[in-house]
Amino acid sequence: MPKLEVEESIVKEVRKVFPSVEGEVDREKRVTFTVDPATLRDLALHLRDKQGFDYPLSVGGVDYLREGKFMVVYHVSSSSKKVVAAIKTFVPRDNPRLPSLVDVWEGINWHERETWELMGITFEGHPNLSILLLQEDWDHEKWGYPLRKDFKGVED
Amino acid sequence: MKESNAALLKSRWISWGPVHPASGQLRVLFDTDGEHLLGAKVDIGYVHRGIEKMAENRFFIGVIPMLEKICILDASNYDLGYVRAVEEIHGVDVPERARYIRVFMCELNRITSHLYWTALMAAVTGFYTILMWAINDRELLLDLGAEYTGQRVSYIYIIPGGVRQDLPSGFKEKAFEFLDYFEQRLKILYDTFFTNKLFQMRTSGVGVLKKEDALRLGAAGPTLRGSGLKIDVRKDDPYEVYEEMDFKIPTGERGDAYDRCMVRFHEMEQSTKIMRQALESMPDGPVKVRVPWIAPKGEALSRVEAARGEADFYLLTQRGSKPYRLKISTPSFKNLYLFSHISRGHLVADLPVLLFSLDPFPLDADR
Repeated sequence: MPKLEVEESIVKEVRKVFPSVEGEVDREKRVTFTVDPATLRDLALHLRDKQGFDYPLSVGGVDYLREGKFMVVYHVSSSSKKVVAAIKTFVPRDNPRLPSLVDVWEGINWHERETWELMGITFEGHPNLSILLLQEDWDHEKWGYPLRKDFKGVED
Repeated sequence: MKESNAALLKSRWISWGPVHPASGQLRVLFDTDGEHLLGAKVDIGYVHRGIEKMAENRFFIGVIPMLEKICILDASNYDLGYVRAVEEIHGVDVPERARYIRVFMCELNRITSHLYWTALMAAVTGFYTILMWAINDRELLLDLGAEYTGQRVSYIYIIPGGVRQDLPSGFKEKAFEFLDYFEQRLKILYDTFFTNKLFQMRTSGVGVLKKEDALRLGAAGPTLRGSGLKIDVRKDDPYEVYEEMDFKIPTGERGDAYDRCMVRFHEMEQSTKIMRQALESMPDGPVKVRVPWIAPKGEALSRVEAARGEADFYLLTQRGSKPYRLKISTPSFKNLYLFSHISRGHLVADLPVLLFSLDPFPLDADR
């Protein structure tokens, strides 16, 4: 069996259904898709229902301060194909909003919540965007979001 | 949700923790009707240290000691996850001998972590003798680790490019001696604790997690495998030399607390097997190569099977000496999310069993 056969077929299938999505094989067992926020939900549903990506691993935000945008990365794994897909999407820094994927993969509930409280990305439709890790009276307006690159720390 | 204390006093939710009521630094909130649980949820975040943020202000090597503090019971696995991400970005090939030593240390930590959990599980089910035995055996294993690294729990021995030092002379003999002893101890633990009628009664049928729910809710590690899923990063996405090791993945059937406990017990047996093989088939040679201080621009997702389950390290670098972003996804964070799901319909007396069957570690969940 030639190497990367499974990975390439996943990317090919996705590119066929969503021509606007950029997809590439990074290496064995790793594929990356770059998608705009409007197509994110459809791609997630396609990956879950048609490609067997049934096991969520993590959600993370990255702050590109100079470019004025955030990147949000979802890592989901397939229990049958044993491949991890990274789904990347970019949102503008002044209006960071994304549709929540909790109803696609329920397990990312806390991951999205964490990304909201530490990075300040609002997941629309999330059942409970509230403080999880920070102290209960954390004031985002006053102190900001800790994982952003322009976070200055908290004054006493 | 973090409720303020004033709001909590008015509500019906009873608060167990966060000031260490044997649960670790987390709070379990539950509502009852008599001794029946109407609902239970976990409130984490009391030991959040902002490790992901701190990692952005340290040199690549300086991040390692901090990562061990995510889950100090299982230090080597967390080192390895991060170090492998750094190595992937650099494109470094690690010497063969170092890979075997890494696998040996990771399995050593898996056993120390599972023994610690055995002690806690024994305590909450009323077996205090087993608590003493498990802690004692763990101590002997820590001594073995200290023989190699000079430290009991926080080794900082897995570094980008290999491991810090080669094994000292006479180490293999000591390790084999311990493994001979420990395999006998495991049999005794099995006979006295894991097959004990009282233990079985306390854990059987408690906190059932069905196969499909385990995947959907994103369970990790022994909790996931207790539900009958054969998912283990060491087999699915093999790293280091796990591909050459001969071992099985223990799984449960019913997905209750008992199955999760038995998965951990059998994992200890498999880990001793892997430690033996690693020592026997270890080639001679160097144990480290130089890795530059400055990393190129890149990104890597490194997955490792830690004792509590899969830990993911997503590392992003711009050209420089520090990580641009390090996202860590930890197994306790994934497993504690399940708690409100598995505790439905149980008794207040089952709460400790429910909680410890997930093997939670609050520091691991909070980071």
